[in-house]
Amino acid sequence: MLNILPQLIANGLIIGAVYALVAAGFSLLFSTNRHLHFGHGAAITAGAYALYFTLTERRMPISSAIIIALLAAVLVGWLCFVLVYYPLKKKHASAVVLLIAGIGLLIFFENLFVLLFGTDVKVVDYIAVTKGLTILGAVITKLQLFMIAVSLALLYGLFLFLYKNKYGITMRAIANNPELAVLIGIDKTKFYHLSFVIGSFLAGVAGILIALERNVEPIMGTGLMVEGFISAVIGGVASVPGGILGGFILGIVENLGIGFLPSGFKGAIAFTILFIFLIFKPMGLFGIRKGTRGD
Amino acid sequence: MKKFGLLCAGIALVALAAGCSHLQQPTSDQPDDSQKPPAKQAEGEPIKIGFIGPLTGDVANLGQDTLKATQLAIAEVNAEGGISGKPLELIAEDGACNAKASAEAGNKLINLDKIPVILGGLCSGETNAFAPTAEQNKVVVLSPCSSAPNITQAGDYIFRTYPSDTFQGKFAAEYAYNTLGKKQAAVLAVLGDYGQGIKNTFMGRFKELGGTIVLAEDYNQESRDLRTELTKIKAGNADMIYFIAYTEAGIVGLKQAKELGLTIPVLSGDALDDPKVHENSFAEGLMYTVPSAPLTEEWKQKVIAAGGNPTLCTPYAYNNVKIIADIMNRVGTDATAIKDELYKVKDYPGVSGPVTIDENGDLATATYDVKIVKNGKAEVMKTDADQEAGDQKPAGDDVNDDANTDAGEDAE
Repeated sequence: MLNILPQLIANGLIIGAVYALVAAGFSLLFSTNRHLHFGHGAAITAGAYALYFTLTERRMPISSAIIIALLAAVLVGWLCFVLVYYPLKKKHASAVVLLIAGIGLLIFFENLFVLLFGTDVKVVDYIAVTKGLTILGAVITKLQLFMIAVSLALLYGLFLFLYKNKYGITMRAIANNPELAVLIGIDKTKFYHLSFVIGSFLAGVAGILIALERNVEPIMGTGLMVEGFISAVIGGVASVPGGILGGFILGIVENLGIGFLPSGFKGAIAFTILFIFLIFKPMGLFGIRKGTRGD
Repeated sequence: MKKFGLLCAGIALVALAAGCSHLQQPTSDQPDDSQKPPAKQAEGEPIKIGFIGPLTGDVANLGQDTLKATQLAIAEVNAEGGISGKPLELIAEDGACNAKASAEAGNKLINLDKIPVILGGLCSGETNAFAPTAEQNKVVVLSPCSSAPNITQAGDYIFRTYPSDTFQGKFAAEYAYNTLGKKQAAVLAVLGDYGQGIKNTFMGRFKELGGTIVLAEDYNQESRDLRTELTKIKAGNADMIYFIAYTEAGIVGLKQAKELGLTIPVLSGDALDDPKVHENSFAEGLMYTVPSAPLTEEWKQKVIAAGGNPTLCTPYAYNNVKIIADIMNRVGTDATAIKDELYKVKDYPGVSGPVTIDENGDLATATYDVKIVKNGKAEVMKTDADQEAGDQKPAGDDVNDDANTDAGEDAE
């Protein structure tokens, strides 16, 4: 089994890169808004379908296709906030209500994509499928290397934004203590908007990468949302760096696990990790109690 | 705040109740013959029959085509006078290729719409999910595409005009061993009634012939990442993969196999008889077994004109409507009478060839083709007749150069 170890780790990194993007956006949204945004999956699907539509159906150049796909993802994520979460928040809806609303949004957009594009699976036939390069005993395609690189670069960019940029630092301040942030004159709502734009942008990138790597179908966002959520819990739901690390950990553990166990256990492995963390380390790896304390 | 909490609790309860509804066994809806309304129906009032198939989710592509073929056949029946002058009306429900959705769909058709016949499901997991309720309520189920061997025992009222995978798995094993000359198979099968049924018959027959199963892996139907499963196969010394998948995971698996540099031949099953799979460059060279259905060009054009594609399940779905309409015209719409007549169906001239139903409600015989994907299209490689002819020859005569005479065991 040792001979396939490099390949198993590579497989874990490839999918981990996508989980990390989803988890980072999810954690960012949670830490700023203090509720779980399960509608996040809809932004992933929106990005993927927009890429399919522009690239495969409309035959647009890849650059414009990517821009439109990212805009679509951001728009869907932002609309979730403007049309559903914000009005609910104004009525002081509890986090549970917002969570259920998020699940509703996920289902709503899933059905919307069925309506617009039909239920059948779509293949974005852009990059010719060939055998990958052999690196350190693992076979990996250029696209997959690109996926890992893009994911790491974006996540580093997000890190810089949160820790070096004025807006990013303010966003963390809101995450840390919303009441105090309001007292010192920070416009919380503006940062809610910003967090949805950035989080959905990351989801859009994940959607584009998955569309190129696998294929596009209405339920894709739901599956990735589950994995992204587990990743976020591993890292500490309110911690963006934790979410990123959690994504890679989940990807690698899942693939190592089924490297040795029958592969039908993949889902069980992911959920076992979730339960272990929820029970023994509910704050995750990087989570700090301060950041997740309830309102 | 409190109101919202209550509201959401209410919503959650309703959602839960809906989700669990398939667990409740229907009691009060036994359609005993005395209160069966259709026979006394007013003129022009339609006779409703149900349809369950994957209209969303996995296999939706084939499901939508099957619905179109079913609707086409119903339109034709109605144009020819319907059932003793009354039109047939189809109520289509989405089984989504999963047990939960199709159990709910079955409950709705059986308990609310009170249909005497359900045409469907497609996925074996769908049919198995609503079959017990149909059996209890004496509703006839006639599936155009479910192939899992365990449907044979699903009940008295459960029929199919699609061959059981006890034929297909066996045929595939014989083809792999005798014709392709493969001795070391890796099996990668989707979890669920279909994948596991065909996997078990394949593995049983392959070992019986003298072959070795190097590795047998299962994966979840929703999985879209088979890289690690394929990595394990690549690390073994298999000389072929028997890959059982529905469209969505099939596309991903074939793509990832190519990316990982797996070059051994891939043999698959009937569920990959979907143009959506074949049109991809990485599907080139894929082989799969599929029941022989010599369709006429004229019939194919009719399905296309009806908005569908003449894919895998369509001829059987079309036949089924015609068979049911024919029976209803003779014995009325009582489900038990229809059931009794279905057991008598013999050599019905269907568009896919003659249909004979055996004492288990299964198709009595089946012949298979092997198709190979070439230039984005699937073409027939070898007919079942060739294979059968080969089987009758003395040991070893029909096998490839690299296959040796231990293939003689297949003479039994």
